[in-house]
Amino acid sequence: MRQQRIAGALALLALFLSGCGSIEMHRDQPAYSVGVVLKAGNSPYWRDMASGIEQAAADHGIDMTLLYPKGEQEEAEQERMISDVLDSGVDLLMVAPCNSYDTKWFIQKAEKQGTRVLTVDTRAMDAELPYIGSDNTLFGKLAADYFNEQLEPGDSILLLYGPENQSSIIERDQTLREYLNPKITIQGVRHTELSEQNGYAAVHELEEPVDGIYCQNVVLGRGAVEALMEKGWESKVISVDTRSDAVQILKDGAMDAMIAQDGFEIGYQSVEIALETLQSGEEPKDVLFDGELLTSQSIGGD
Amino acid sequence: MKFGFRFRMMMAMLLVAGACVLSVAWISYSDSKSMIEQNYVQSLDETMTLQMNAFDDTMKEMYQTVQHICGTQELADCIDVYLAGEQTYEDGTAVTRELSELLTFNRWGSALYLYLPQLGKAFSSEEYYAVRDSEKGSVIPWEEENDNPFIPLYFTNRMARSSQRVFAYTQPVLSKSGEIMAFLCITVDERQLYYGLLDELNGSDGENYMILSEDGMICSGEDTALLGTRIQGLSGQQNGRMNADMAENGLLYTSVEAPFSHYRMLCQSDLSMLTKDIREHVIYLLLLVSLVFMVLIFIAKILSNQLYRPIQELTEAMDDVGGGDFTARVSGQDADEFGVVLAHFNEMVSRMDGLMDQVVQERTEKREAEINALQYQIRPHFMYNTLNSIRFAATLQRNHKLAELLGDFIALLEASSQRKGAFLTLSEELKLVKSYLSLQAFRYFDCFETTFAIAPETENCYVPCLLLQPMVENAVFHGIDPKRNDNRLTITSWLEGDRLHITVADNGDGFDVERASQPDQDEDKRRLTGIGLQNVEQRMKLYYGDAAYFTIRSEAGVGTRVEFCLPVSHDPEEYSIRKSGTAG
Repeated sequence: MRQQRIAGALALLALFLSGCGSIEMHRDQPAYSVGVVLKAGNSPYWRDMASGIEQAAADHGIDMTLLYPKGEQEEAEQERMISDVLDSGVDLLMVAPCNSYDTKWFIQKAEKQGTRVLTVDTRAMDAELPYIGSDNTLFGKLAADYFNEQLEPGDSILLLYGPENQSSIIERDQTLREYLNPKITIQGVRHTELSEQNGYAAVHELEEPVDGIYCQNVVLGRGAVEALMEKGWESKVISVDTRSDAVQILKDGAMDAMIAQDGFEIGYQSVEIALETLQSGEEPKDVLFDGELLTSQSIGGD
Repeated sequence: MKFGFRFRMMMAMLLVAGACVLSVAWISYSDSKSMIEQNYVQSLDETMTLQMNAFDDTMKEMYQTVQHICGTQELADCIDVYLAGEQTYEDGTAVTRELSELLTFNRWGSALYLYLPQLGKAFSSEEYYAVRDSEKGSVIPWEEENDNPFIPLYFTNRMARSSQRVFAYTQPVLSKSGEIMAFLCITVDERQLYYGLLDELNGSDGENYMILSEDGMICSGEDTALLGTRIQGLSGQQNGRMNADMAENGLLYTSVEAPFSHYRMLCQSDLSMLTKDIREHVIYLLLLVSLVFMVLIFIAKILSNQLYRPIQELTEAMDDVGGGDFTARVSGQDADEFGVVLAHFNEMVSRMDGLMDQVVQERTEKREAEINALQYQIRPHFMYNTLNSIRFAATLQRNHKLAELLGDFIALLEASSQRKGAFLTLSEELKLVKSYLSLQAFRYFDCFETTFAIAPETENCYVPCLLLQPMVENAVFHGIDPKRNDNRLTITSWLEGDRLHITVADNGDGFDVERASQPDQDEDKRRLTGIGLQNVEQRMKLYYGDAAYFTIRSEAGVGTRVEFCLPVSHDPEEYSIRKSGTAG
């Protein structure tokens, strides 16, 4: 009888206490921290990639530090950022190097403190690092195929690139030259900062018209198109950009053809691969993303 | 009011109901309070996370801006020009203008400062103290570094007004040869940051928002006097990305960390303000419940009285009946269960009253009979002696017939004043009948003949004394016609199962049984017939109740036949009133 009373009293107490209780909530730091230093943030492609990276970090609960210098040529600025990211103690560093031939220093620094390193968008040319990004050799081939189809033998083209020490440019240039009809002349190659103004300047300074222009990105391409219009030259302009922006550009008739890459998807998947690397401890293999040649005809435009 | 059963029952029910209401109210209050607090903390978490993301975005932008500016050619050229020049105040203002142009980041009073360590000169993008001579670190801690370079510095900016506290990033400016030629610092004003991020939040009652450094120092908050101090009363360690716990002072401390800058936003909440409304609501509810309970008690009292009224009447009536008042009745007229109970009670008391009357009457009759018996014990005594003296005289005078008649008469007289008991065997009863018939034969000059057909097994059966004599007397009185010589009486007995049957029959003129007891009959005949029948009937009723009866069949010109049907008894005491009375 006494035990029953005690049990009853305890049950009553439990009932009352179920409504009581002090507040205590806690959310731990994310299990992993990843630092990403891109080459720039001034084009739709980079902004898409940044969005993909941040979205993946949010989806997977990763502490993300995303930085980028003012432009793709700001090697020193990027170096300081990479160094600071490593100093901040991240678990993994992901870099789109402004200079593909100057990566050893941060690889060594990362190794010293046990930080994994991946490259995104742009390979390291002086070291073996996993790469996640567009298949740039395919991009060069797509551009060559486009010129081969659109231009006649004897026509000439201009190649407008960003910094020459970046793997993405080197690889595209190599395959473009490899697959380009030998009867089409490469009239000139310009390596410049990826800005509209520089694209404009590069075309504007030409004395002879060219039949085709390949632009490293759409920012350069827009400047080139402005210069062509100003000069009244008819020229096939092909550029590279993130897919959503490329379609709109083609619809607007601002460009003749676009090689579309999915910046958001590359960014998103690179974070997922980084997470797998941290979880498994194994070095990932290269992950290449296909590109797509878009023209106003292929997207159903005018 | 006495603490009777009704009152205790009512109070018990109200106490249980009250306990239930209070329990439900308490649990409801606790759950609501807990839910509100949980939702509050979640909402706080979301709000503070948003604000700290904005804080981080600003810090990241400051960091990237200073990284970019220190690598620009414009800054390098500006420094070179100043170093190569005469370094006049005007040259210094040119540097200031260049800094202002380079500072594209414009938020929360942002400013850019340049320090040339080799000259001990500091330049500001602001107009105030645009150029200032200072020793290294005296106005800005140029080289103070955090382990994590993304954590902004926090200090009092002496390049600006004396009290300005700032969040800042510094960066050395390197020459092409890699030597430090200057330091660059970008700042945002704490006050403007406070008004941009925290002031709107601090408008809420009972909440105090502030920004803390990684080591718990207050870096931004409403009360500027607390800046640079550490928070008081913080019990739990504020760690993790978000943390909320109650301190000993009853305040809730919720903090959210900014992932980039690692500063924390802390909210000091007085939860009593948060639950003030619900607490007031509960008090109002309790008052309302109390009022409702008082009304319920009043209604319960009325209903209880109404329910109790028939029970009270019944109780009083039962008390009266218990006290012997069998006239007591309850007046319930309702058709409900109580009405049925009260009606049954009234009926029961009525029956009891009838039974009691019957018992009283029977007792009275029995006493009268006992008194009569006692009188009979005295009266016949001298009569027997007298009659025996006469009989003895008749014998002496050799009048044997007279002596025989007197003997029969004495035997009848003894039987009629029976002292030994109320029952005797049928053979004894028949002996009396024969004595009587002997006397009547003398009276009627032997003008009738009597036949006995007595079954032997009936002779030892007990019958009430003088059961047959009145019937035989009636048969003689009504059935004998002295003018006839074929008058005949027949007395028979037999057994049927456990029933004893006795008949007394005559072959006289018969009579109308119904008329025999009517008042217009001849008084003597009616009286004799009535006394005999009534006597027998009453005695049989007293002895046997409904277990015995007799029938009279009379037909004019044929005769009269009386038949008794009695239970067979071989025990003289079996149906005696004494035994019945004792048993009953």
